[in-house]
Amino acid sequence: MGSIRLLSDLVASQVAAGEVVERPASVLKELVENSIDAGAQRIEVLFAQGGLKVIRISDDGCGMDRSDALLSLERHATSKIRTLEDLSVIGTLGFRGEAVPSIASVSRFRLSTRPRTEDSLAGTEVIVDGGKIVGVSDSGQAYGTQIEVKDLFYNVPARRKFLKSEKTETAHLLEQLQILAVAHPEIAFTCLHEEREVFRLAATNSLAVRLRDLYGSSFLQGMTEVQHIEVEEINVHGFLARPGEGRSDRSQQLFFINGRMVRSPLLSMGLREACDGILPKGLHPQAVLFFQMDPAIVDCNVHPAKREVRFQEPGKIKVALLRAAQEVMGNYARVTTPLPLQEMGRPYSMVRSDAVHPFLPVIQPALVEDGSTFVQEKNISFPPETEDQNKQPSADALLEHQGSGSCEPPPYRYVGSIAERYFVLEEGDGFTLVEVRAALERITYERLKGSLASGMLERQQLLLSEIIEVSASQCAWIMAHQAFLEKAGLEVEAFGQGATGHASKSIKIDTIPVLLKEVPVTQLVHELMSDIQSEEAKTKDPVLQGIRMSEEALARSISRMTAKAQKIAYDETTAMMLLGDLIKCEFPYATPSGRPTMLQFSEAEIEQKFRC
Amino acid sequence: MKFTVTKQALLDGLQRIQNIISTRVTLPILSNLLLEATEHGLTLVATDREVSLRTFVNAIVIDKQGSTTLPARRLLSIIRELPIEEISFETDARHITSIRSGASFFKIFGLPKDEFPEFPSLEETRGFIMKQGVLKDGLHKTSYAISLDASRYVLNGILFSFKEGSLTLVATDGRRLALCDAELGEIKYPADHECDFIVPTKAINELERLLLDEQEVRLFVGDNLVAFDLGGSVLATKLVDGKYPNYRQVIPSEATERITLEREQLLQSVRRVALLSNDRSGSICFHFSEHNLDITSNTPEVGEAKESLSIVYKGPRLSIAFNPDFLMDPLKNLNDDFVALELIDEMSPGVFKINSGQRFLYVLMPIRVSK
Repeated sequence: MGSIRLLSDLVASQVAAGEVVERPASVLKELVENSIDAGAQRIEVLFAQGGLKVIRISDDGCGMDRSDALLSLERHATSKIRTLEDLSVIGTLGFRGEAVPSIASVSRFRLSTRPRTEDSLAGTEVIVDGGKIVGVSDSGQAYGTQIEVKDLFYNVPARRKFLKSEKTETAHLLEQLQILAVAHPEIAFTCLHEEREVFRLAATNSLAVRLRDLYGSSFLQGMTEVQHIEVEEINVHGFLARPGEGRSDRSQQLFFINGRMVRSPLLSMGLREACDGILPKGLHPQAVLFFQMDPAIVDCNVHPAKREVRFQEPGKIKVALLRAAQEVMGNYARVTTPLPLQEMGRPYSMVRSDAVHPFLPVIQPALVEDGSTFVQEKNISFPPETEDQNKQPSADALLEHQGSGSCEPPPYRYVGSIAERYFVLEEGDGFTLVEVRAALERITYERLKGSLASGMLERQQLLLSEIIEVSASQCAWIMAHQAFLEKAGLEVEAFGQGATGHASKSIKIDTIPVLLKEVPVTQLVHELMSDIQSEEAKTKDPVLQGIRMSEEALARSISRMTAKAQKIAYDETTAMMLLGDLIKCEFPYATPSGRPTMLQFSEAEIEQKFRC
Repeated sequence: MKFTVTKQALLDGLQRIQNIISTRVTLPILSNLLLEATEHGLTLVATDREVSLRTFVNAIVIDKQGSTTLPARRLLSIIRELPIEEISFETDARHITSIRSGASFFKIFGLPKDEFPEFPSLEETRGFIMKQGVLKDGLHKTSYAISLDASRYVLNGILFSFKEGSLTLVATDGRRLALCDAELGEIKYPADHECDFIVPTKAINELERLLLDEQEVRLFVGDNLVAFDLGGSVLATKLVDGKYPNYRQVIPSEATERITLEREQLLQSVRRVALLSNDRSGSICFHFSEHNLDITSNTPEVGEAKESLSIVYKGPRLSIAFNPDFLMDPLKNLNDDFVALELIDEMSPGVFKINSGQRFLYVLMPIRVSK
């Protein structure tokens, strides 16, 4: 009896702290978010010893008067929401009213603040020690709020033990601050680590400038800008890797929903899906993407640190993401082709794992003036064709494509072929290996997509119709896709019972795609069937099926088979023609299924290998 | 076994036989060829168990009769390099063959004859005889249409149809069909010899190489085997097992238009226009209008081509698309000055014919460019 008791506020705070304040970086996040919510123009962050000794956040935000300052230390005290209804339309970063008291309960905490009101002559300083207010006094200071968190977790030794090394915690702190800085370019940030300035970011209205300041201009060179695309009342903007660029992990993807950084498998997987056929498998495009949407359709009250969100209609978000990625990549390519290979960004093979990791903290001052002026990406206009479900290149696009630029012969010298599989080409500072079948696949695929869109796939009529035997279920599938297969140049008809098996059926084929005249018809039908079936199985989501037309699966399947069947002369003429055709492709670096088409090796890379 | 031959005679024999030996042999002995020295001279035999060829080589002298098998390709390369006209072979009991030619000496390990597949015996059930040139011409006019699609194996060869006193050769790959009557002339065969059989592609290719013009060729047709006796060589092959499709039903019985075209001119035009057909995949289009034929092609983003031929044509305007390779095949392999193209409409097959007495047909399905 009497074994269930209400927890004291202090204990409750510490329990809550366990959720919210995981490590010093969470303190930084909560406090900086408060500063942002307070309308700060300038935020200074100082920390020492991985944030365990001290974290100090100073802002020039709205500040608080004495009573608010004291109230802010109470649990669930917040200025950000008032009613339950507010919770569903949260526009601020914080709302729980949990962070400050939680932090205060596990540290030696000092809050000094002065509101931006005319009658505030002095600020208030509140000192809290392990959750107990030990002093309240007047303080002389500028407008805004300064919070100092010292000796974090001094009274929770268990938590302290679980912290990683000082270096790791420092890295987390910096990463956290960088993410916040990316989300808010309009705020000037200063970061001091152990008395040394790590970075000082000027306020700017350009995300590009902020990213350049944080990650360096090389990071931006691999990116292309997404300029406010509005899909289904969701606005997307930010930066996305150029076609062909990618990393082997997802650490370089930042997604912000209404200004809040979230980790969402939905988004990262959606983005990968959007890059199918553009980026080799296993690579992930770098992305810094901001989604603005009605707060009512996203629930951010899922995770204590609000790192996860729930969407009312995940389909909508995915569509927006897909559309954005497709438009960006499609338009990018359309505007810039044909370009010599070098200018199209480095193919993915050049993205080395040991390259500088742009999202890892930069511990030296980032304000490097290297004299290079920052050139923003070529402006690309995105027609707001949200109604248009059809993302295949239109006839206009093709014309535009034809008109754009001259087709200068690429600066390549044919060296030879290897194993009847690869062409070796020498270029400026290194060489390129072209995988012939993969290149053919990409070229055929792009041509095919155009022809399929205009419904003009040439078909060879058969003199002797082919009768092939299939199972009853296959026959049903084929008949259900009759019109679809006809689009591909395959006219099929049911032809009664199979000749051998009782349950088997015969189908009669009257025409075949001219492209695949080399492929045995039986093989053609079966491969096509299994390719499209597996593609269909992948895309259960009806929303996506609308966008990712199964025609694409058709185009992939046919191009794969064509590439396999085509006879190739391994000589210079063919190599140069192939390369020319490949470079003209929208996405020359990978097959539609994501196999690389060419690998580039720079002289430096080769030299490196020969060094002892 | 011991014999002496001239380099040229042996080389000729080896070259006749070398294609028979498959590059991917399942049994080591199959990469060898059989040498048999008999009182009549030297014979060479090669086989891949489907197609076998035996050819006769004149020897200068046979010192000792006998036989052995030697690796064919190696032997050919040795003989080719030998500097002296006269070459002597001697095989010992362990099947080691010594080859001597002037100052050169080679010793080659062979395999005994026992393991070598026996040359198919020619049961004289049905025999036919004709001029080699006639058969060669017939094969030449049809063999390009043979299907390479291994899954339709009955089409992987030429149909030989002996019927009503004539021989009809047919080849098709399901898209086009070539048919040619071989002129047997005075040579007759009894009615009970009538038969249909399919000779596989490899045997056809070898026959085209081996057949001469003047000599005669004798055919011996068994149930699953046919042998072509060319005099100096005998080629025996297994037949393609299966029933050839009913080709007669795909030959249009009549046409609405018949256009006579100059073969060489048409071939050149098609060849040029094809340069701008959509890569290897595309089609070229024939546009017929009064006394004019325009042949056109285009490749998006590359360009287009057009050739105009003046022809005798009074019919309605007609456009029909074909695969240029399929068009060029018969034009390249015929030798008549003129060909006739018979058409019905843009969806129906076109038929090439020749005006000389010989029956030749080439049925070609058009390509449908749009629905």
